Amino acid sequence: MKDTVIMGIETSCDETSVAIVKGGKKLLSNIIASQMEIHKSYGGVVPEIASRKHMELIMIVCQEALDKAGLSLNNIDGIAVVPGPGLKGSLLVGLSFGKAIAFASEKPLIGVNHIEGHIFANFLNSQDIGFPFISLVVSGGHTSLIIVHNFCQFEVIGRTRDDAAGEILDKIAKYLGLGYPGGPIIEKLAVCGKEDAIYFPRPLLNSNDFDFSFSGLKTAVINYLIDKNKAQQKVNINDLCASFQKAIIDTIKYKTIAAAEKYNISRIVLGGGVIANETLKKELIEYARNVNISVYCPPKELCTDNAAMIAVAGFYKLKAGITDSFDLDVYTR
Amino acid sequence: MNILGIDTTAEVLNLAIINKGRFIVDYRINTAEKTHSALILPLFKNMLSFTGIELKTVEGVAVSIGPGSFTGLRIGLSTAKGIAFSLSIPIIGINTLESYAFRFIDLPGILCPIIKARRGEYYYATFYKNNNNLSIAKNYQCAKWNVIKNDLLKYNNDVYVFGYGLGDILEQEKAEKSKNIANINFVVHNYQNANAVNVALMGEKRIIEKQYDDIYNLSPFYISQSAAEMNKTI
Repeated sequence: MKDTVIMGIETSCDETSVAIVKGGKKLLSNIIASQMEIHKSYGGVVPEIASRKHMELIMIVCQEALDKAGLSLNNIDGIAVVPGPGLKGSLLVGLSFGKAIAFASEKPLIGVNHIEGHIFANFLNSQDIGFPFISLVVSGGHTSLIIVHNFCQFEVIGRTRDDAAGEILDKIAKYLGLGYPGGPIIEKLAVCGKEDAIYFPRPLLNSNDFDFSFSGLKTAVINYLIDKNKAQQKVNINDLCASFQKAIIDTIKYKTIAAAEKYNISRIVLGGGVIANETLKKELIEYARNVNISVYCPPKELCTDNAAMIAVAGFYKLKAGITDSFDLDVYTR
Repeated sequence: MNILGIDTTAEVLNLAIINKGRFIVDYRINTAEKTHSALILPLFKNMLSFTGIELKTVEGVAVSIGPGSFTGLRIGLSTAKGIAFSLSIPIIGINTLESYAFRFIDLPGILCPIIKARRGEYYYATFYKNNNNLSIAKNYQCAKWNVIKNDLLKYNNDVYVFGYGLGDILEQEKAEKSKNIANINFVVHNYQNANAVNVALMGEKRIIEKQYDDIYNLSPFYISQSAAEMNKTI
């Protein structure tokens, strides 16, 4: 089992990725073809264009992953695919392709939930993380808190009721005409701004559950901009970005630590594209340290969507004897 | 040589295996209960077990690449690529309209296959028989029926119209009580919206001629741009 080689396939949004991982730890290849440049001109991911791009790229990316690993399909012991959540048309390309490979080459098929994949990015090349832990996955599509009891048992204790954190960063950046993706641009501008310059709400901070809601915060920022515009007052974009980002970080930070404390869990494991935000990471780690909670985080390149994390998750599921049948279908949420 | 034919371009999911110009099995499912994605491989597996055909004796995959449902095209082509890649066998992309025309190649006149698109439009092209092969007369287009009709009326020969969405056209003709359809004949037939046997037969021909497609570059034949691209151009 320790030499088991898994091919992971990930096409849930706008990255076409195929990776090969040995023994759940050793990364042999992780090819990621990003479509970001294409979607930039539309200010966000266009589902039909993303699906078309995946179709164009999937076979090329798969071959490149095998070549880089120096392997052929015969050397692969299992195919890990993502049935969801994500964009339906995008998911279908990777899922159909992966299922067909598993079927025709008579290898086990392992379906991996995309959000679970983000958590497993932490196990690659790393020390072992003890169970249970609380996982925080934040990206353009998700903001979720999950208790991970073991490699196969996940308990979602909170998720966003509307927009994901990454989504409102994109939307506000688009509103301000700053470009896409929003997160990195806002983070850059926020460095030069004052985070207490403008007060924005921290949504659901005092709710008794661990759900998130960010659409109200988005509206508050837009209303602020409209009011300033009406009053013909100038807005300091750096201050706005810093204050807006701070509101998101505070909400995520307090809720995550509160969850760890409530369930008496001393480990927090991060994942998802928004985790690449250095300010968020730093604040979370510092805040957790004060209450003796350790925080684990994957390297930046494994925070955003990639197939390596899917292959790792696939490895542990296969190890536990969990495989899927060929009628495995997509789910968007 | 066993050739697998795949047609996922419309509501009917259709898989077939043919061998030396003769069909062995032709499976069609038309259900809203399950998706093409969930059905395609279990159906293929079932087909192999019922016919006793071993997977490793499949020597080519022919897949209908459109025009048709964008999502359907991608399910079929992704699956075909996965199978062809794993078995190291040739992949052949077959134009869906051409495969429809191939079925009626012996009709004495111009062939006009149609496929229902969005917004009341139809994909279409016209073909004529040329030494047992099809030659294209009017290149692939997407238009409303009235536009297509005016196009077809220009031919001096008889024109045969058939395909997916013909029922809607017949209704429209009835409602408008059209008179001027002199040279246009409608070929009403069952199971008109799936054609895996003909896709496989055409694929076999191409394999014999060694005209394989490149598995890396073979893409769906969409005809239409995505809505976002269209709006951007405007």
